[in-house]
Amino acid sequence: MAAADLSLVVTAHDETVVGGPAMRAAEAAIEAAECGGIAVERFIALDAATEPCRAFYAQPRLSKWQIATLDMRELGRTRNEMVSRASGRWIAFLDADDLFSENWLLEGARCLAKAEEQGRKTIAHPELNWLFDGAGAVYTKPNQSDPLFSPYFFYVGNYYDSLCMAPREAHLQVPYVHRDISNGLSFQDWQWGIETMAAGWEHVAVKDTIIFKRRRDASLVTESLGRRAIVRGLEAMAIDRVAGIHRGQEGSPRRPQP
Amino acid sequence: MSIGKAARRFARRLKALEALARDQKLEQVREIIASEFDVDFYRTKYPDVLQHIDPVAHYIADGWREGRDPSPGFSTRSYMERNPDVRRTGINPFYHYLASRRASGVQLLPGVVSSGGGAIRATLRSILSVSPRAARSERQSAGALNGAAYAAFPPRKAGEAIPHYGATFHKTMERARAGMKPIGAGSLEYEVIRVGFDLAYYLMHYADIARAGVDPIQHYIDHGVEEGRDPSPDFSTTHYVARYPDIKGGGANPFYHWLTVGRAEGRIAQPFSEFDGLCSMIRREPADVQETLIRRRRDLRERFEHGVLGEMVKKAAEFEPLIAHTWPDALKTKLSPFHTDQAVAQVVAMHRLHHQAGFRRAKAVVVIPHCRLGGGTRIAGYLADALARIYGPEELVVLRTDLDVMQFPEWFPAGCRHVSLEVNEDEPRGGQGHVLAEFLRSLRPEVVFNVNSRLFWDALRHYGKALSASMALYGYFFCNDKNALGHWAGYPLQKFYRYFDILSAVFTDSYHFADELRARYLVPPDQAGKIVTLESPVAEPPPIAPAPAPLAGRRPQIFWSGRFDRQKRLDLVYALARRMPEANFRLWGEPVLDAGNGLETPPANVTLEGVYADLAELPLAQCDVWLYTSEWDGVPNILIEIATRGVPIVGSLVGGTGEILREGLSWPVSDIEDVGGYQAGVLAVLADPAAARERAVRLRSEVLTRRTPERYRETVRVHLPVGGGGSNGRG
Repeated sequence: MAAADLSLVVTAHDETVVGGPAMRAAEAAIEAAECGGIAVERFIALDAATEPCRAFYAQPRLSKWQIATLDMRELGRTRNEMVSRASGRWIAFLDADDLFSENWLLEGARCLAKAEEQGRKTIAHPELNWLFDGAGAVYTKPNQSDPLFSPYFFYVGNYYDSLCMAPREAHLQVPYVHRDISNGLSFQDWQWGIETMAAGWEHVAVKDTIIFKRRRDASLVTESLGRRAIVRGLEAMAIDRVAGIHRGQEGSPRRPQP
Repeated sequence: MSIGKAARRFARRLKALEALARDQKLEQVREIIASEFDVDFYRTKYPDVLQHIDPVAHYIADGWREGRDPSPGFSTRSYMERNPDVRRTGINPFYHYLASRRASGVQLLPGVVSSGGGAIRATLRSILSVSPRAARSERQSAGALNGAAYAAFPPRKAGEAIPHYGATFHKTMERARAGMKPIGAGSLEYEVIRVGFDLAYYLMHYADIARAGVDPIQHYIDHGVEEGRDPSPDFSTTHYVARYPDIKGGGANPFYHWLTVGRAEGRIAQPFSEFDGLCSMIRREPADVQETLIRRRRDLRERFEHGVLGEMVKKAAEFEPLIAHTWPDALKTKLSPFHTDQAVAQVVAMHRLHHQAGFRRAKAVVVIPHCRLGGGTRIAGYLADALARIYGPEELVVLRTDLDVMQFPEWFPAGCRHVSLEVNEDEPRGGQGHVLAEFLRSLRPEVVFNVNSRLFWDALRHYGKALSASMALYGYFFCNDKNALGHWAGYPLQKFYRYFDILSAVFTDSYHFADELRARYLVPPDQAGKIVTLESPVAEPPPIAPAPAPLAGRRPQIFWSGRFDRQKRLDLVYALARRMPEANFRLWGEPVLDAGNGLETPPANVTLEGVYADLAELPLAQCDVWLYTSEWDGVPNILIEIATRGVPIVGSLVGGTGEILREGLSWPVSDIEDVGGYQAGVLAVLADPAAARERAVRLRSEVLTRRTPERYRETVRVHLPVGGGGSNGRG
């Protein structure tokens, strides 16, 4: 296969039929991207997968996908490993139970291509997070250049998540850390967003694109929230640095009247 | 475009709209025009018309006067040239054409209103006005003007496709609309609210209203406000009323007030208690941010209902129908960072803490609940002084978490930073704990000490392990307390066993209490050293109090001070006073809520002297004996202070008091209920005042020798992390 523009990695552990809608939506998005001239490499990463999970993804209907069998037992390490295996210059992840909008891969790739032309280090995100199933909510993922953007929000929530599209270099420069829920440390996506921003990567939202995130009873996020896990203590979030991380500054605290 | 030009354009628009309001029914005009309006043509031909603006509304408000065409088959300019009377009277030419064509003989220009016309015109003018603040810049004014036009014409698009949220709900909308009052038939309040009312939002979020089939606008007016319902995602009824109590007092419907007056005045209707704080952080005026959020919500709505965004949702829902269940939430999309009320409050709280901390890191943090009179606060001051000498005062933050009270700043070292969490009582405790944890981590400290902060202990429940991963945590425990039933209670019982493993060390003020902890919890020998006794220091040794005059010819003076509560056992003092009518008992202190024992009428030889701020205010030169009667205690500051003044002490031997009340140098009472024991001690002092005084002075010397700031500081230092202040201190 010729070098792909985009590698799409679906990560699974114990999912079975819940992955059906996700895979169908992913294939629709791949088709739209390929119609737009984007070559897409398809991976399913099975990390310490259960037997039913392996059986589900082994079905002939999904034969176009390359199966990567791993034993990382941890999502961050799985993603890092898949970065090393993927050939695309851009990489997009999808959790096995989530869906993205049909236009995401095409528009995301166009966004990154344009950024490359302009020499900008860019990570693209869907414009909206659309939570469904166990909980419902819709929120925007802002451009970090948005005048309403405040990096202080990172103390209480994650603007972004890993279901983004990023150049391979971003993942090589800032690999995912492993989670440590038993010690109250989780949300690798959250940390990755902060650290890539601090490292000079610009996070942008791609208009009219959506990630649909399923909130199941026992998802990683649910488990992390239930334990009140927080992101690791990061240098970028230090009191004298946080104000400037989205502007590529080492720290120039704003001092308006609080 | 210059601001002046924008203003002139706005004036023209306003005039045109007023003309419409005077001579035509706006909704009727709109419906007739929309029936043959070519939206795609208009958008294509006039790309300068913003995407989130309803093209029909734009044509009615601006387009026809600018010579724009509503469809390929109708030339606005040509029609007006052929019909100069239409141009002269200010009638919308496309409306004139359609109405003429459709209904020959029908009155073309029915009066808008009859009796109430003037009021509605004036009100419409208000609604269509823009905030003066919003007109500051060309871009802002253009957006606001367009936004105003949009607000005046709710997004009803006759002949357009069904919104992407689906035909069923669309029908629900139509049914609800049919149950509403005809245009112009409602009260002024009703008609004004209709302009800004978001019918889809109301029906999606309040299914009971959709089911009931009532007029939604009338429902909001009659009940919705009281029930805290919102007529639009742009307007939070409860926050608006809470923020502007004058409105509730005035009796106006809050949404009506905002539409007619409030928005133009820059009043904020967003559902965030700390909206202004976040606006300040991003250096934006709240009114401008509000307008931006409104524009963005409307842009999203347009794209959800008729644009690519909604189309994508619709397609995804074909793969997974559960996705469509989130449509109601999409109508109130959170525009990060304006996320939830709690999230915004926490973001602002973090920034305020950073502001107080001077946007600088700290190597050491002392966390206290508040700075009020109390032994714990005093000891926090000793600890802070030691840390300031080890790390430097500029590297120390003293953080108050439970009450924003700072009565004794002089107890803390000069140059340290004082920060208050400014606790919001309405904030869930978990939210405050999260802010506390993140603030501590943002300081990037080496060490954090908790001295009685309840919030800190509570925060450790969820964030303890995470915090201990990046800083050394220490807990300062004092003796337990007794509850109203007389059973032991307090932080040592509740928190010691929970957090001992994640704490780098546990400090106490008493050897007795440290032993008690080791014994009760069977602390293994190799960890016993984690429980450290810090003998509270005497920073500046006071002079020995002058000895009182000889007893001959005067009544002995027995001094006592403390809270009038269950612990301090005022009843024992009274009982002793009754046994010793020959002596005067002078008491300092005041009652507290759980006074318990000792609030009966004092005996005649007891004088309640009130309170003092400093022990130096007391006439110690008149004191023959200091009496101490606590039922339980650690090593109370009052005993240390009296001991360092060379005054003989008779006191109860409980907890850590024996570390001051040394046998042979004072008169400890083992059986604290034995009034005779106290009496014996007092009589022993009075029997030979000079000898008693000599013993008290020796006790003073011993206390001062042991309790030096240097010794205290070194004990702290050796338990600090290696490589930090422990080895590189400057003290």
